[in-house]
Amino acid sequence: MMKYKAQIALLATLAVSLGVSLYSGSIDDYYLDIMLSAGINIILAVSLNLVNGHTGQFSLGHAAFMAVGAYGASIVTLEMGHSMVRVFGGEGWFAHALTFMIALGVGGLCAALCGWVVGVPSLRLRGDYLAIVTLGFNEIIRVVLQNTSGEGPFGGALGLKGIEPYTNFFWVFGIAAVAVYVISALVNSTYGRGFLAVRDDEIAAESMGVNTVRYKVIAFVTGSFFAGLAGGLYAHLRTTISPEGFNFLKSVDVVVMVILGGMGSTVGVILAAVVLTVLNEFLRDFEQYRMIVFSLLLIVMMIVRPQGLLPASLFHRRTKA
Amino acid sequence: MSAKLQLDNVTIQFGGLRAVGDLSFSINPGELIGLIGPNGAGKTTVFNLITGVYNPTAGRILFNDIAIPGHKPHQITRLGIARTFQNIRLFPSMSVFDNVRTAMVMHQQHGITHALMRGKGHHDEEVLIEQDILDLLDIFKLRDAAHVECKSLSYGDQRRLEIIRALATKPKLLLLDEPAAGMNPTEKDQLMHLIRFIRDKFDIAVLLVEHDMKVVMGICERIVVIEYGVKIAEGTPEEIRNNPKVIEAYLGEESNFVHNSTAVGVTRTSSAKKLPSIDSTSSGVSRNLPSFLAALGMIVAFFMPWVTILGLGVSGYNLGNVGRQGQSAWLLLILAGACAVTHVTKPTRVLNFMTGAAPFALLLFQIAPKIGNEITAEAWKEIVNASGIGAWLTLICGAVLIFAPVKSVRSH
Repeated sequence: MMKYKAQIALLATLAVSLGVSLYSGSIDDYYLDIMLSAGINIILAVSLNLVNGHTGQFSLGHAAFMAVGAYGASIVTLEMGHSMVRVFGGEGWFAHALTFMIALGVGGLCAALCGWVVGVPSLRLRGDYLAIVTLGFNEIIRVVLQNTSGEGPFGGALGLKGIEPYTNFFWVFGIAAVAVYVISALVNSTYGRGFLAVRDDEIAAESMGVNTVRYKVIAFVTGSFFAGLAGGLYAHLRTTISPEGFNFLKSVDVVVMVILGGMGSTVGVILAAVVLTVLNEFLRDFEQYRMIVFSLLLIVMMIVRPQGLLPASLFHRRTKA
Repeated sequence: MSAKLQLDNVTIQFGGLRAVGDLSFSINPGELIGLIGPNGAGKTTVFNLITGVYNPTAGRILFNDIAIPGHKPHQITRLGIARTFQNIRLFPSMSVFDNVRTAMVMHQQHGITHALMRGKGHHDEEVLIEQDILDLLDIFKLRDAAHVECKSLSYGDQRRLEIIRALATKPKLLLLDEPAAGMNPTEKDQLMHLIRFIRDKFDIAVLLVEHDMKVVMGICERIVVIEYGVKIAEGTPEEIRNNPKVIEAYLGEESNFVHNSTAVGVTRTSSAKKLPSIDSTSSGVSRNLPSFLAALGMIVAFFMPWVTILGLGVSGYNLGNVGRQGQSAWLLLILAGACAVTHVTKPTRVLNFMTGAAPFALLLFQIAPKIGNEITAEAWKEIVNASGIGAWLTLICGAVLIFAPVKSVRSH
């Protein structure tokens, strides 16, 4: 059944991550934490890659959508978690899983909605407008969250704490697998040529009957949705979130992953997400120099290998009889 | 007789300029029509009107009785009008196959959900599309190159691929914008055969905008001539060739052209005296400066202002009574200004200059509050000690950055 190998691969990944998550108790906490962070970064990078890499629109505010997702999901579990668990049948794992799923879904949908609101006006224009608008949106979200009341549901500058640690191996890598599947399926089809056409030449794409605005909005909303899911996972992994955690630098981190991995190359971007997460841990002792190392890395990359570590052209179909 | 494309008294005005005035002509199904005119006559504007890039100020454009104005370009393509571009616009990152595949997007029965589900319907459709594309490439003898990157095709083949891609949208009317531009005589002959072949094989109407008289006269059945946006003649090639108005327009242009070309020649020679000297100095310097040194300078110069700031902050030195926050703010402001200026003026030299000037500006902030007092040796020493070697390195790098043509790093 080679026709359905993508679906089979997805199911296999889901099964494996469920299996690992059942035995994740025997993994050292520190390493498990790094793995989960890497998984969340994979979701972020792959979803941003759809916008920046495949569709060629430069978004600089991925952390904002992550923040919306994180706050959306956390508020659901904090405010309604207990009653939802009770409604779903008490203390079993099923009730908790269902609650978490709904919370993640709410977070993701909030982020997608924000993506739509931000994307529709700015994606109608050609050029760098999206970068400026998303950059501004990132700051707006952060500042608004910071200035909410400390007693309110958003927790003000201190953020939210005491979030249930629901995130585990299955959720992170299951959702990462879904993200990779959805985005590859979108792009690697005739339908998906539209995304690449928008990136390569918008005017020519338009004259080929491709509705460029529609494609850009679809890419942006899908990217925002998965960023929201990643945010929800992040919140329920760290159990505390604050507006400062979703600043501009966080967005830059994700952009660096996409550029390092190779714009438009899913495999490269996954690799870069893992490498940079691990590198971050190695550089923990030199935290203040971390940004310098990252920046140097980017500059060197731009000079030596501007197409990224594993560029998309590596995976092009060469010949077919 | 039902005309397929019909332009009725179409006028478009850009401010005070009437680019196209009261233009009327029609294209019947299966007809091969040429649109010619001297430079600046408005040919491309007519093209842009038909493809929905511009909306006419007055008049009607009907395609199969549907009004074109108000539709977006992609909707017009779906109505059955395909076009090629004067300067080739292929999708550079895609293979030949995928370039044509992009045009298939609009024919898909199933949309995004099918692409996501990847069910049986999706697979069947993809197989059909693949067959369609390969058949189309077969007709134009490009099948062997199907999975080659389109950039590696020859110029003539790229032009052909652009026409194939337009045909893949299954148009009823094909608009060709100067397809012979940049072709040699042999390629032009092949192109003429190709256009006629397309018209016969696919049974579509073709509107050809072209400068090359041989091509237009050779294949078009009817020719529309415009000058200053107004139609001055319409008829068979034979009629057009003998039309006194056309001869006047072209001969008038010819004499103008001769006149202009001498004028251009004069300006060229006068500028030729100046330009090479600028070129030789800049390229001379860039060649003398090893590119890695320039790259290193760029890296250092980008980071050194920040290192200086940190150095100053650690030693507790207060710059110009603005405090550490203030310093960062000023530096950020300078860098932001640099970015803004570069964005507007394009040359990287300006960015180099601004970034290079940042440390000097910082030094100025250090000295400025002391100008009122006497600048003693101690005060200088204090500045030096406070800033440390980082500051002096920054100044040197800044100077290098201002005078070094770093632009050459990428181009050489």
